[in-house]
Amino acid sequence: MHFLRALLIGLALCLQGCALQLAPTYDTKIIETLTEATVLAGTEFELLKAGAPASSFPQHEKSYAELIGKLGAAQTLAKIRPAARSSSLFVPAPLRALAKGDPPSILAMENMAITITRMSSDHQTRGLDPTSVQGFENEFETLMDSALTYERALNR
Amino acid sequence: MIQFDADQVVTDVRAAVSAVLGKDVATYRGYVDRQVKALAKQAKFIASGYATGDLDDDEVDYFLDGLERMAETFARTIRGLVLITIEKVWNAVVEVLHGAIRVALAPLGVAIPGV
Repeated sequence: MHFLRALLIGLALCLQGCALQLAPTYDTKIIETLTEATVLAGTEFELLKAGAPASSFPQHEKSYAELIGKLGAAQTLAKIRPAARSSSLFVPAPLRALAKGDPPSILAMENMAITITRMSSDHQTRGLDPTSVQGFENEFETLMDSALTYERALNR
Repeated sequence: MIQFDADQVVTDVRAAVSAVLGKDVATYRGYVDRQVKALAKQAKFIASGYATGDLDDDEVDYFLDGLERMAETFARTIRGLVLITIEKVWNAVVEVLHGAIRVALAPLGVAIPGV
C-alpha cells in the first residue's frame, strides 16, 4: 500500500516534468502578416495576369516592395519568437534531432521572397508575359499554403 | 485503499490519442492533396512552357529551381507538422496519466499539482 502510494507520487512528479514542446509557440501576428501578404500578392497577380510591359514597372514597384517587406516582417517575427523548450531529460534523442533547425514556415517565407524578387526583376528588365505570371502565382500560392498550414497548426 | 482503474486509463489514453490523430490527419490529408496537385500543375506548366517556347531557357531554369524549392518546403512542412502531432500525442498521454494518478491519490489527502 505504502509502496504503491510512493510509486504513484513518484510517477506523478516525474510526469510533471514530461510535458513536451517540439515546435515554437503560436503567434497570431505572423498569421496576420502572412494574410496581408496574401492579399497584396493576390491583387498584383490579378492586375498582371494578362502580362505587363517593362514600362509599367514603376506603377507596380511600390506593391512589390510592400510585399517583400511583409514577407520580411513575417520572417523576423518567426525567427525572434521563443524556440521550442523541452526537458532534454525525457525527450528521446531522435526527436530532439528532428526538432532542431528553423521552423519550415521560415523556409517558405524565404522562398516566397525569392519568387517575388524574381518576378519584380523580370517585370523591370523585360516585362511579364501571361505564362510566367501564372508560374509565379502557382509558386507563391503553394509556398504560402505551406507557411499558413504550419503556422496555424502551431495553435494547439 | 488506492483506486486506480488501469482499464479506464487505457481507454482514456486511447481516446485522447485518437482525438489528436483524427483532427491532425484530416488537416494533413487536405494539405498534402493541395500540395501534390500544385506541384504537378507547376511541373506540367514548365514542361508545356518549354515545349511551346512560351518559356525561354532562363525561365525554365528558374522555374525548375522553384519547383525544387516548393518540393523542399513541402517536405520540411510535413516534418514540422508531424513533430507538432507527436508533441500533442505525447502531452495528451502525459495529461491523462497524470490526471489518473491525481484522482487516485486525492482520497489519501495527497495533492499533486497539474502538469
